[in-house]
Amino acid sequence: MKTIISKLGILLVLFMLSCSSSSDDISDSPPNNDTPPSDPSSYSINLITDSFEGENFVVIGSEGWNFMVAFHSELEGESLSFTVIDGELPVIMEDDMGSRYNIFGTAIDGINEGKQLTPMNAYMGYWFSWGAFFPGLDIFDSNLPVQNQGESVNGSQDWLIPREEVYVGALRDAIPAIDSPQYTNPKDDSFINSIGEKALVIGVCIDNQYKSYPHAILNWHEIVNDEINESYYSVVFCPLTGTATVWNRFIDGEVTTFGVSGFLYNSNVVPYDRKTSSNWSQMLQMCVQGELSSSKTDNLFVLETSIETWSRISTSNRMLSTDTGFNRSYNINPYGSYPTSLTVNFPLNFSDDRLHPKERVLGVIVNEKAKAYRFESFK
Amino acid sequence: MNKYLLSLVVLCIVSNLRTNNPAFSQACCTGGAPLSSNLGIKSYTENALIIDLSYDYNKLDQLYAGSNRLDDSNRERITRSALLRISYPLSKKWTITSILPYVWQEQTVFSSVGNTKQSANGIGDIVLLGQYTLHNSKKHQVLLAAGPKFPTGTVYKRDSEFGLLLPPDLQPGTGSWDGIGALSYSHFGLFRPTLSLHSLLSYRYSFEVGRYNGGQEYRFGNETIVNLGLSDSFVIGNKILNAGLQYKLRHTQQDENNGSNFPNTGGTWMYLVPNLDLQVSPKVKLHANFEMPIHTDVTGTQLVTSYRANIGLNYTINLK
Repeated sequence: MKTIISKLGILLVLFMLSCSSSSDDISDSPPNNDTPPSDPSSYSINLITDSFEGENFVVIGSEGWNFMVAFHSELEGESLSFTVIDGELPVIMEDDMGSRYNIFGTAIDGINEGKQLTPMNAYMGYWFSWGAFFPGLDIFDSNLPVQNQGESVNGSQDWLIPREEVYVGALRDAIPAIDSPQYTNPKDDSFINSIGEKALVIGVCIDNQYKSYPHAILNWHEIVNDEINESYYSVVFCPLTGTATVWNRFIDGEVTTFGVSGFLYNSNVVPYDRKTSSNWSQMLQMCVQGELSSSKTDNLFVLETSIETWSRISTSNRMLSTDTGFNRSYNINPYGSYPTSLTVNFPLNFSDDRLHPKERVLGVIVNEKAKAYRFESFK
Repeated sequence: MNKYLLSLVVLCIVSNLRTNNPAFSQACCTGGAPLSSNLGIKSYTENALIIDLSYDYNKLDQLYAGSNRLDDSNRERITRSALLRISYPLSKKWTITSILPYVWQEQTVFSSVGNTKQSANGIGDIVLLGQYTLHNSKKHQVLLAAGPKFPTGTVYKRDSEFGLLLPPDLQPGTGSWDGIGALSYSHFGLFRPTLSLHSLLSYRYSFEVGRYNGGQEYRFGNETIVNLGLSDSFVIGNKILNAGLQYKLRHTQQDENNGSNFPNTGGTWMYLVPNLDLQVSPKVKLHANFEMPIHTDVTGTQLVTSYRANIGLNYTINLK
């Protein structure tokens, strides 16, 4: 009996050792995801003058300061040239008429003082999501052969996108949106201090009032329904595509709120409006199913950057607090190593492997086409 | 003998824990019936067909981050399963067992803007086990079982409002082939003739499954379960009542998605499981158990079981 059990024990242990497989940890890290380089040279700010689909614009960015923003080159019908201003954040550039502009595109002095440049329709996101939504998109200053050029998809079964490509990641409101946001002074907040000054925030400035929303909190909620001076907006953040947008939530003459439908299209969040229960695609910036189908979102300017940079820009101390009404472990990313791994959780319409899938790029959208800008172009 | 078995159990647990990814392990929020907990590894007499029908109710409504319970009542998930287990002893040593589940899955999200409920039901994944009696005496019994779990349960249930494919944890089946192995040891007449010690070590290895038309390669984390308990028999009237108390340890590795570990899956759970068997007649036995969690340590944040109950009827058909 003892012999049998002894042999059996050895066999069982060997079996379990052989069966307990675990995947190798992915050790590669794409550039600039929450941990941008800290060497002084990376903190230089640079400016690119470019055109795309007949639009002329400037893109200003810095890897160390962790931001990229884009503005039309025209101001009140007049075409301007810009030069970068480095080392004076929030001031980032000067036009050929001598006016200087802050990171929100507002002229702060000179002949154009008080005037506002029009932001391009642009936001940050993981490279794979731009490749999936905008097949064949250009990458600025890249010689890599374009992939999936000319490809497109069609909607189906009352959806403007292929219904079979819409996946249920969770039930509606299982990821609860924040409807009564509370704010904290980041300097005095132990949680904000614990996530560090390199952590990313989504910054909003309306009527010279500033609010910011840390990714660390939005990873758990994805949407904040908020307002500044009766400007009603929703901050929408998708942790799977790394995209942040800010939408006007005054729709069809009525203020509404957005919630998380739990659906995913190209791994990207599909918010629903609570007035009509219509489903919207964040990255397509339009309603893709329901009563408001084909309505476009009214996008507000959004600045995604680090707490370090935001603290130099913002004159107020209103950062979203962990007092959300929900009990969550905000110091933990619920998606683990996802922001730096090669893995994409849900299927994509198109895969484009020119860049690391999780490299954060700025996508500039014109005429439903996109062009991507990389941090390395601003070195 | 006891020292030997204890060493074996400890070795197996340690070996399994050692090979896990240190960061994460797997959740109980996977689709399908709770088969690993209902294997029913037992010794049966020849020339009999044993039919067991049981009903399992698993309520998950507690949100945990690691070993801390979060103050949240946002979600509830209920898995109900009807399990038909048929065992047929081929000889004194060999028994073949099949487990056929029917599963009802239900999930509700409670929100200030309205509740959302989704449900699905259907035939679950079928298990076929071959069981071998390694040793059987008046004092000791050692059984070994192994077999596959077939992906017979559907993974294509859709929601009624939009016709979208429901998430995997709401599907009656898992879609994956699994291999299950179990080792059972019983010591009868411990301190007194009717007191018995029972232990069961079971292990489930999951193979990769392609989801979303091959767009996602998913693998559920491997699962180890250890049961250790005592039971005693009492005569009440002309019936035999068997009462027991078990300690159950369940450990699952983290799931893998497209080759990477999937967050918020995996963990270690411990339960106390009181159970009762009532031998109503020589052929009919009623049984029930109730699982109470005593320790939970999950990877990331997960919805976990608040309680689980199982009742059943066991009927023996003599084939002589």
